[in-house]
Amino acid sequence: MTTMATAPAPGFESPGVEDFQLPPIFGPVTKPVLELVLAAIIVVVLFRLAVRKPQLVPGKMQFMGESFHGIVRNSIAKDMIGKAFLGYVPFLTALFAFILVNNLFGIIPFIQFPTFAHPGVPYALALVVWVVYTWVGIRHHGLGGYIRISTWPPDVPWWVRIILTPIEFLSNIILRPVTLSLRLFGNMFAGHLLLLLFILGGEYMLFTADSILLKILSPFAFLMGIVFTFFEAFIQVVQAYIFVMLTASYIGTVLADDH
Amino acid sequence: MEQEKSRDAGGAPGRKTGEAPPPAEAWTALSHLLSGILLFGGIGWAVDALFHLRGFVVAGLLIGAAASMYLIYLRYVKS
Amino acid sequence: MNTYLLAADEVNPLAPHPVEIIVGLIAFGLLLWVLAKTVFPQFEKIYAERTDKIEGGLKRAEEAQAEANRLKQEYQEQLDGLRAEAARIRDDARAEGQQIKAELRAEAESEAARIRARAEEQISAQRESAVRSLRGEIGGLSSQLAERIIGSELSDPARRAATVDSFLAELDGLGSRQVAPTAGAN
Repeated sequence: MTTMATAPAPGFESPGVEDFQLPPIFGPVTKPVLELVLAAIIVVVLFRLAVRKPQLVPGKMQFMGESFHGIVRNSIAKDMIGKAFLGYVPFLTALFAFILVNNLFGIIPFIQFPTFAHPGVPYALALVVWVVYTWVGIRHHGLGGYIRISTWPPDVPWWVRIILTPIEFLSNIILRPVTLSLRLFGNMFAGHLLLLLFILGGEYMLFTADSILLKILSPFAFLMGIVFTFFEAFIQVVQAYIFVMLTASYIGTVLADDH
Repeated sequence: MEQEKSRDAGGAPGRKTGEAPPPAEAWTALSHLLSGILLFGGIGWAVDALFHLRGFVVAGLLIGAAASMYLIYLRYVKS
Repeated sequence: MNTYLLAADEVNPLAPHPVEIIVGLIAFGLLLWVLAKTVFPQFEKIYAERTDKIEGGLKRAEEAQAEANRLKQEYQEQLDGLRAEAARIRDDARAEGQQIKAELRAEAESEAARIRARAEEQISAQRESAVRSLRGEIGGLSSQLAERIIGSELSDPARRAATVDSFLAELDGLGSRQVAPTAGAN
């Protein structure tokens, strides 16, 4: 990661992991910590505005709130979970909104740091998801039933099962939260690094480098930075969506009944 | 609420146990593949390291990959 | 979860920051709590109301349709009843008319018969009186004839014959006038 720029000009330090270590603002509070609080406030305020005076024919805010809620409710929860989906809609919607806002902080001017480029909260949220779907599975099937549907491929000889069951156990019970969190963290981390590279690189080319050629070429670096900002916006939305969709799918999987 | 539930009873596809809904299948399949390769590659590596042997890590990786693919076949193709 | 893994010159990007985890979980927990308590039930309530309104509207439309059908049925029945009633009245009127006609006809016929009978009676009475008066006149005439024959012209056969002829012609004219008075005198 630290050597992404293929031929750094003399004196150029390509951005690396150390750029993600942000200095504390006061006490132990760093920028991501404030972002987490801000994200929660933004989400709550927007949703409260949406239901300030609920009407059958919605106003603009209410319409947007309903649309957001409706996407999670009808496109994610209903498809992934099935008949008992309604109880999980609040958790999934809150999760989607919280992750989405935190991700979008990566391209919002003056904030410009995706909170989940630090892995702590993705770990925590994935653990919460793991606890939720494990608990739902055990409640629905009992402990044995839950382990059976998660690790017991049907209709295979016992010696095949000896091989397959550990794989499913690892995949379904251990790796799910790991991949869930690392997918989110990795995308945010790499995306932010990419933007840093273009912007800091352009800055260096324009102000620091001696070469006139680099100064002339610097707008291209900034242009690429802008292009990738839009690309990142897309990635940030998609990653929030995937996190929630997979969460719903895990819940749906542990709720699926025998046939 | 009750009505909603009953209406969606038919909407939920009758999935087999442990089977993920279609859009998430790809991720789960990838996870299975990764798990198999990691698990049996790791076992092979451990055998090599413990008994000062060579080749088990490669065998483990291959077995893991094959077993994962068979598992994916069982879960998502056959049913 | 590890703490900060901040080695001298190497930073592990996978190492979590505990403060973020704590703040993140609390922030998300509060967010979920507030939204689940105050926002999402409102949404569900609105969805339910909307569904209810649409379904209620459909139900009301169905009820109105049923009511309209019922009324139509009722009117149809009433109309059928009226139609039957009208037909019955018409039939009655027709029957009554026919009865009246028949009565009138019978009356007219009897009247005509009565008139005819009276006319016949009159005719026969006139005829009788005519015959009676004729009979009397014939008697007189016969005596006049005899008088004339005997009194003046018995000597001349030619005059006698003329006398008889003139008498008979007279008698003839008189008789036809007496017998058919309506046909005119000739």
